[in-house]
Amino acid sequence: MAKINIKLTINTLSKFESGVVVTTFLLALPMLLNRAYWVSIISIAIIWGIFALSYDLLVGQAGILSFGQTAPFGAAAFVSAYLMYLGFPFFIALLAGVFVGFIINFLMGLPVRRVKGVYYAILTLAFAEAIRISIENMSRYVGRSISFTVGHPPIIRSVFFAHFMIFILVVLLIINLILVYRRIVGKTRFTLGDLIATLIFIGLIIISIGAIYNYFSGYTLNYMRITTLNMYFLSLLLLVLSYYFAKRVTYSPMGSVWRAMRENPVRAEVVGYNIYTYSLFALAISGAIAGVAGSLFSMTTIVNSETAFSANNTIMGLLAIILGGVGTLIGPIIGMGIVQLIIYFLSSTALLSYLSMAIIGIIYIVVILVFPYGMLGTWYLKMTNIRRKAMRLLSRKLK
Amino acid sequence: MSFLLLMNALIDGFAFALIVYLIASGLVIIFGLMDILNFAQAAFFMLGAYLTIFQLLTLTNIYPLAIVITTGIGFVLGIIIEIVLLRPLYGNPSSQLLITLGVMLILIQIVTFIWPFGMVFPMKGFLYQGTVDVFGATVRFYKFVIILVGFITFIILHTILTKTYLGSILRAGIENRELAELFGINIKKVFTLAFGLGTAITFFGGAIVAPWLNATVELGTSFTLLAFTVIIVGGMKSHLGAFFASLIVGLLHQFSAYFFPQFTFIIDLLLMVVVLILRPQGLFGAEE
Repeated sequence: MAKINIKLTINTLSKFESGVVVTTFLLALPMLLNRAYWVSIISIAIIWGIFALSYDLLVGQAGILSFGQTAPFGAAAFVSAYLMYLGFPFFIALLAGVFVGFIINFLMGLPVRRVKGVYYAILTLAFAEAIRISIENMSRYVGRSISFTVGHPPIIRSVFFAHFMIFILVVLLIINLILVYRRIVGKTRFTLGDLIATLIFIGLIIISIGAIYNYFSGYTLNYMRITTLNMYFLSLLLLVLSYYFAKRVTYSPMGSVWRAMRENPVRAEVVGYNIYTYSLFALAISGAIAGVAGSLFSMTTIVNSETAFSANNTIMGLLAIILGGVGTLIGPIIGMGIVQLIIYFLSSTALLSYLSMAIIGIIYIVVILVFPYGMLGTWYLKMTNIRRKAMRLLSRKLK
Repeated sequence: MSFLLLMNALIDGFAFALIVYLIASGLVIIFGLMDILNFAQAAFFMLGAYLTIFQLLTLTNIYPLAIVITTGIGFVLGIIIEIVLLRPLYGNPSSQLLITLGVMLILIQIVTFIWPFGMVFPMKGFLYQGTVDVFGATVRFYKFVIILVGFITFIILHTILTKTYLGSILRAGIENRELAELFGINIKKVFTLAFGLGTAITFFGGAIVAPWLNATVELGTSFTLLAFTVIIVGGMKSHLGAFFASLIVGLLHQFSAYFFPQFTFIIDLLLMVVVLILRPQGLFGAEE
């Protein structure tokens, strides 16, 4: 698998600023759309984005190729669906889902000391399929289908949660104001980067004021139910938290060992790291994040062996990683958004809906052949190449 | 556990095992030589069944001719896929694996698009539908045909691999790719040929199985895991291992299907996990 190690630095925005920009935009987005189905499509894309993130942490960062990532996802979906069905609040169901995802992937990782590479991929594929098939067999044995439909737990129905997220949007608005103030005031030179950043911030401030106005004037809730809005907010909140967590983990000492392991496992072992333990940690943490996605997923649709444990989930995650760029963390999330949008658009036309997976497969093959580093990865490489060329040109002129 | 049931399970198991062998042998040749785990192998198998029945419905009513044409199509398709999709990516086995995954997706989707309900084998006659009495058990005659054809294919393939010049080239490539190249073998051509051969065998398997299992998408999905189980149990690079492992797995699968239907796939996967953990190179694979 293609591996890249180049860090992206956008000249115009610092890391914190770009985080604020993206979060503000995503938080204000549902209030700007006047179609409920758009909001629900984006929230489903966000949930799958968390799944893609967890998968990328495993494949892209730790370099462990597993084809069973749907196992922690599905197990978490089942457990949290069952808990919510019993009447537990979402928070407890989420914790249980995370725990189950953690444990499932940990157990799946136990043979990783002896089984490596393609063998491990097949083993995990078999493990996930075994869970799916045993649930199917069991439902045949019991005589009824084993499935759960959760619907809307209290947190999704509460107005308080929506108000709370709007409060966060207000806080982000204030942070935006502070950032734009710091960009303009007290500078001796006003560069092009500053200008672009200021324009972006001002645009965001206008957008978020409009969004808050739309929310409180009742315009938004005319078009969509509070449940749709809250589902979006909840998935977005958990996406941001998981992304932040994943980012912290990859920049921790453990993350650097993962990358060493990915690049050259033998050397990492010789240097003195216990690869087995680190692999187990990578698997378990990735499973926990997949558990977050599973818990959210259990609220969007019916949870049964086919939706939760289908090998198609893993394939979709893999596709998102390939599309977005292996090991970039944000790339797979964007890739998953694109995949979900493609699926949605194709399913809106009757003829194409039957061919959606085939078209996605063709895109997949073209991406592997043409952009071996994924969209984001190729872009990073292009950026660095362009920058290198520009530097060379500039230095030549200076001479 | 009556005798009749046991007899049925035994014959079913052998027929099933030889079908799985026809998929797994192609997989073993491809993986052994090129290190590509071909996910599309079972999809090729499914496509073989579909194409055979399609020909019988539209083109000809001679079954053996349809088998030959299907095998030819498989060979050509394998060569095209190898040249267009896999050749640019040598030295990057994971990407090749993902490419074959994409091919699998596309093939399964296109087949379900064109023939949404599958196809039933159209020909009638004793050879296809007739039954015979084996010690009191009524068994479909065609299963014996499958067993016979499977064994003959195994013997032919084994002879090719061990006794002919082509076989020695293939074995040299499996043993040590660089060394084979050093001795003047054009390894690229060998790769293309081997991939074509692997897909052709699998298409042939699909054509053979059509009268028994008809043509459904299930062929493409459920046989993937079985074929993987076989090559893991037998050793990823050993053709002989694939044969014996497919006998083990096929019999185990059918016996569990007859006597413990709620554990059908689980037992196969359990076998695979146990073999992977105790002996990762497979029962018949060489120690690395």
